[in-house]
Amino acid sequence: MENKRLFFGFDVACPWPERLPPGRLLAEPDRHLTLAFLGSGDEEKLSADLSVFSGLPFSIGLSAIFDHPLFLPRKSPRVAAWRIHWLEGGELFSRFQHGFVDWLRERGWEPKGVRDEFLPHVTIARKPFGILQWKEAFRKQPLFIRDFCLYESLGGLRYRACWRCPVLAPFDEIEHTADIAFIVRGTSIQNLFLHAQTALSFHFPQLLDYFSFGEVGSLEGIVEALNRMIGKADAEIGSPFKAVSYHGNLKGMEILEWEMIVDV
Amino acid sequence: MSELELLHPATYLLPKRGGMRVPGLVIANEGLLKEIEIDRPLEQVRNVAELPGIVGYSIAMPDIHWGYGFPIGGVAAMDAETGVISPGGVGYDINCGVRLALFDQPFEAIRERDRDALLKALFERIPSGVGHGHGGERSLSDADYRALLEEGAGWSVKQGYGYPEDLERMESHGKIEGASLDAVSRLARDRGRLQLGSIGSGNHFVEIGAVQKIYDSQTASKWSVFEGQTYILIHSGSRGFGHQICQDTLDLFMKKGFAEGLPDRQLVAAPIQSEEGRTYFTAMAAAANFAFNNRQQILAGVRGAFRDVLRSDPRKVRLLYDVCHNIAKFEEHMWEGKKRKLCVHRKGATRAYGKGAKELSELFQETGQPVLVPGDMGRASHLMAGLGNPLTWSSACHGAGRARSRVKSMDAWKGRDIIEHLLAQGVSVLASSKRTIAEEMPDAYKDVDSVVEATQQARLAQMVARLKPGLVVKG
Repeated sequence: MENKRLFFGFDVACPWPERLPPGRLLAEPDRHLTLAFLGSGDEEKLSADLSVFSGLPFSIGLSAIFDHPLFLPRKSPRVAAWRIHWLEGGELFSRFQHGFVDWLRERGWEPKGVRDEFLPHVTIARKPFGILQWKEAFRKQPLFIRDFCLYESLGGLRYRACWRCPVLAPFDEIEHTADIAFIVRGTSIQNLFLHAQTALSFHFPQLLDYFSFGEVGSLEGIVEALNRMIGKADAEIGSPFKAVSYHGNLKGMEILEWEMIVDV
Repeated sequence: MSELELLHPATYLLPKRGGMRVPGLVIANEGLLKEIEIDRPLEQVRNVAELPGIVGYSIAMPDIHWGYGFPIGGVAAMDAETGVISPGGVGYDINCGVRLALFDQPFEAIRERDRDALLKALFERIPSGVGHGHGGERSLSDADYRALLEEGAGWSVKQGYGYPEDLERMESHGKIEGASLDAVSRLARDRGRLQLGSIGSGNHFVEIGAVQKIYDSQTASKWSVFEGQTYILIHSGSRGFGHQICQDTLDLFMKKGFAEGLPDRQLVAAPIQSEEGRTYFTAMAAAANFAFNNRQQILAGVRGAFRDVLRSDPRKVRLLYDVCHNIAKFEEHMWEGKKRKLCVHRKGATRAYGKGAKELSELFQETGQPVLVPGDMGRASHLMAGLGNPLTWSSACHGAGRARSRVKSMDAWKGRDIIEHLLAQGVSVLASSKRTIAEEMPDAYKDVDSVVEATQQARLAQMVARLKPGLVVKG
């Protein structure tokens, strides 16, 4: 059997900065959130086990913020990473992580390096790097997690997904001739509101400081709240958005969908 | 598209159907109609034709594309007594507009190192990008606001940004009557406080280049425009101040139920003579006057850059004209043999008064008003003269119009050196954001030459000169 380095994790979507400090950078598509490291193992058995995997406890990828740089392991850092602060489903994710490790163990797998307290993060670079430079360059960024994958490490900071459990994106940017537009998804009006804000922050991460977690009860309420946020941000720091338009209707039952058009 | 009936050259009728109160009128030639995505904007032309009080036609210009409620490149005139006024018919960027200034030296005569210095000086002097950009140290007080809204661009002239003769070279002399700060929310004031004199982001810019070709030498000569001459084109609007006024009005109109019965709630509109309609006009005029001041102060920045780099007298950067292309104005027009007072909405469309129009200064009464048609930063822009076509309430096109979405444009240019690419075409560009450059690359736009040809074929405006950009500052 080949000695493969296998691990489970999530694809991550983020408006990655064009410029990062020096270091051995992971390519954007290779940046992921590791959940459990397996090392090598019997792939046929793993495939059989995964065929009965019951799925994820969420159908739409969770939104979060990279809120802090991390240098791991702390005593003698080998990687520069960004910490994840969940905007939704933090406890749910934590329960899933623990439950998934148990699920693996029940099937005879022993994930390595599992700690009681899981620290969600994404590795951006490996050493050599300058900690001070990375600290100074760090800016908050929005993200959401996408497909749950079994990855194989190919070496040279490259990874390949050999199995995936798909997750809907909280939003997709779509074509619009003059402005920018998104299909935003949510499990509720409130959830749709969060994902609409996340979509905007992918174009303008500084908007993260203006996120609103107040109650909204309707699509028009979402549009008004988004526009209040844009207005406040524009008054204080400037905004590339003029406004979100009163466009579109809610579609769907379990998963709500809305076509959001943003005047720029 | 098959529904369109050719009326005159480059002028098509979109017949009435369903709830349309008037037919549509589409200005385009065959080539453009084949090239452009027309179905969605035409649906918007039909929707606009359902608005109460609309007179004549719901009109589409050759640079039409899908917009908020109204298409961009749309014109609609409402009866001033019985009609409605719609923020969607003006757009978020109230009095977004263009001004053209001329410098009496040929562009080729400016040495390459001076051109580089000029571009750098423009970028440093004129804030660009989101918010107040890299400037914004001056904050407007409410007293400043009251004065500038009341005086229009004359306020900036009094503050030292330009000269009294500039005011003669602006649509409506740089001031829309009836503006009042009382109709403007605190948030709108806060959004605008640090933004006066800034370009903003998106498709706004300052460009410098050469008059490449003269088509109408008589008019060009009257306007002192010559081949090779250095020109300066400024495109900006009312910034966050105007955006918020539009948003506040939309929120209010929605709450008041003014969208009921309309085919698209983004067309939400209040009767012109209602309290809400009057308040919107007052606030819109405030934003329009903010925008005139904005472009006046940007021009002052340009003059400062020319003075610093070329040691030229700032008066040698001579304003030719300033036009609004997102506005609603009360105008008198003849319709069916009668003089009618109309509220003409021009959204992504330029007023194009012809010879003899009373509002114009003596010079432009002789020629028709200048119509400024910015293209894209790689190919060209155009200077035209209005022909005062009554079919379009004396309106013409406003630009090239987007042909490709921002997402597609970004994808197409990902990983390529766009600055070098433009440089190879003779265009130096500086921008606050590389993303903006990628979104605004020339191939994201229709060919402006086709748009102005259709405009001329339809007898809305006459081509005077083609302008070729050389230096561009983007947001």
